[in-house]
Amino acid sequence: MHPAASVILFTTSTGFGYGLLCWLSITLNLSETGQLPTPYILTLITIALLLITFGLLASLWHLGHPERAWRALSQWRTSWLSREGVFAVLVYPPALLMGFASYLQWTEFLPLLSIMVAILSLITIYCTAMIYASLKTIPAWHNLWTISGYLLYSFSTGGVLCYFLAMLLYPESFPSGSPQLYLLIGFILLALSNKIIYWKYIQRTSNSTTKETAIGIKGNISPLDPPHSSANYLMKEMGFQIARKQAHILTPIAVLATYIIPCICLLIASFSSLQVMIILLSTIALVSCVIGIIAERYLFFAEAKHVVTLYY
Amino acid sequence: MTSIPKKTEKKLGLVIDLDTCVGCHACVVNCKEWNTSGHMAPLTDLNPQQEDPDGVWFNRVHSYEIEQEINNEKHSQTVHFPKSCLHCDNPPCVTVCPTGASYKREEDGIVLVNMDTCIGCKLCSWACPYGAREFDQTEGVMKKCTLCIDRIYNPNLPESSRVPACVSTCPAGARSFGDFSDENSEVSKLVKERGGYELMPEQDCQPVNRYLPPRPKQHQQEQDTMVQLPEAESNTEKLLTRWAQQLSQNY
Ligand code: SF4
Ligand code: SF4
Repeated sequence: MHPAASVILFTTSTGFGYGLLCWLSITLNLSETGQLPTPYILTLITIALLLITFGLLASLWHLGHPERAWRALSQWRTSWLSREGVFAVLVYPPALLMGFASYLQWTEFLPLLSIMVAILSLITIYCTAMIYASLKTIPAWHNLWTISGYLLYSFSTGGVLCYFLAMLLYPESFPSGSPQLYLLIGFILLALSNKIIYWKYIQRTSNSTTKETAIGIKGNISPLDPPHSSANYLMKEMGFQIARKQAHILTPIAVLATYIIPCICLLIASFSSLQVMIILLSTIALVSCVIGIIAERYLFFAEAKHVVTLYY
Repeated sequence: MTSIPKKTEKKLGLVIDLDTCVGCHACVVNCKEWNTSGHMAPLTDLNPQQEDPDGVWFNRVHSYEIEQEINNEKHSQTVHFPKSCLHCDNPPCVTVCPTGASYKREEDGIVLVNMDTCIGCKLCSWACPYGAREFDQTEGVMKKCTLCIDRIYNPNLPESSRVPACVSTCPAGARSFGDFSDENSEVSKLVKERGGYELMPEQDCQPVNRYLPPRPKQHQQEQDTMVQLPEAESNTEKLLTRWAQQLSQNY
C-alpha cells in the first residue's frame, strides 16, 4: 500500500498524543500523593491535545473533500473510520474538563477524569487499528497483531514522551525504580515483541486469495496484455512495492530506534542521579522514538500487499 | 446509510463470458464514453496526450496467458478478462464508508457513490478486493461503475438500448445483463448452463456478477475424429485433364 505522508503523520502524532494522555493518567494515579502539580497537568494535556489535533488535521489533509469531514461522524454503526472519528471527538471534553478541574483545584475529580480520558483514548486507538485490521483485502493488516501493535506502540511512544516531559518539568512523577518506570520499559519490550511476532506472522501466512481464485481458472496464470498502458489509480495506491534494499535499511532502524534505544536510555537513566544526564538520556530516547516510529509506520504501509495486485 | 439492505428486490448484474470475449476493449471504450457524461460524470483524464496517461475508467480488460496441464500435456490459452464492479451482495466497500456516501440500493442491488457527500477518504477502494473503484483526483471523490442506471431505466432510449453500455457494444456478445434473483432470467439460465462462477469467493463479498469459464480446448478431440482427406494431386497431366473435365461440365 502507498505510504501516504499524511497517514503516517496522523498515526505517529495521534499515537504520541493518546499515549501521553494514558500516561498522564497512570502517573497521576500511581504518584505517592495521588496528585500532580497543576502546571504540569495543564502542560501535558495541552501538548497531548495539540498532537492529537495536529494528527487529525493531517488526516483531513489527505481527503478529497476535507470540508465535508463532519459527515464522517455519521456511520458509526458500520464503519470503523467513523467510530474513530466519533471517539476522537469524545476525548476532547473530558480532557478539557480535566484541565479545568486541575486549574480550579478540584483535585478529587482528577483521578477519575484521567481514567475516563485514558479509556476513551484507548478506544480511539482501537478504532484506528480496526480500520486496518478489518480489511480482508490486506492480509498483512487483517490480523490480531495489527490491533495489539497499534495499542502497544501508542502506549510506548506516548510513555517515552511522558517520561521526557516529566524529567524536564516534574521528575518526581517518574522516580527511578518506580513502578511506572518499569511499566513503561515493560510496555516498550512488549511492543517490540509484538512487532517481531507481526513480522514473522506476515512472512509465514499464506493468503487464501490467489491468482486462481481472482480469475477463477486453474493453471499457471501470467499477464499477457495489461489493461492500461501506464499505472492507474489502483497500481499507484494499492500496487506500491517497497524496494528490498529499502526494507533492509528501514527494518533495523525501526527496531533499534523505536524500541531498543529508548529502552536502554530509560534503563540507564533510572540508575543515574545526575539531572543533566537524565534529561539528555530522555531526550535521546524521545528523538530516537520519533524517528523509529516514522520508519515503522512507513513499513506498515509499504510492506502491506493488497489482493488486487494479483490481477497485475 | 452504509448498512447493507438485508435483501434487495432485484439483483441486477452482468454475466461475462470468458469463452467469447476477444479482448477488443470495445466495452471499456463505450463505458468511458457513456459514463463520462453520465451519472458519475466526468471520468476525468490526466495527461491524456502525454507519455503517462491516467484517468478514471469503470471497466478494464486484462489479458492473461494460462498454462494448464491436461493428460500430462501442457496447454496454454489466452484469456481476456473484463473487470468492473460486481455489485456485491455483501459489499465491504459500503460498510467501511464513514459518510454513507457509498450505498447499496434496496430496489435493484446496484452499488453507488453519492458524489455530493463522499469525502474522498479512499477507504472503500482499499476494502474492495476487485479494484472496482477508482478515485477521481480532480474532483476529490470516489467513482465506480453504476451499471448504467442512466441507461437501464431511461425512458428516452429505445427498449433494446436499456442495457449497460458495455453490454450493448460488445461485438462478441460476451456480456449479458439481467436480474439474478429471477431464476428464469437469461443471466440465471446462462450461469446454470455454463457453470458461471464468483470471483474470489473466499473474500465473502458475494458478488452478483458471474463469469463463464472458457470452454475446454477442442483440437485434441478434433484430431481423434478427423476424416482423412485424399492426397492432393500433384501430377500436372492429371490436373489438366480434371480442369478440362470441369470446364466441359460447366458449359
Ligand atoms: S466489486 Fe468492489 S466496489 Fe463493487 S460492490 Fe463489490 S466490493 Fe464494492
Ligand atoms: S472515498 Fe467516499 S465513498 Fe469511499 S469510503 Fe470514503 S467517503 Fe465513502
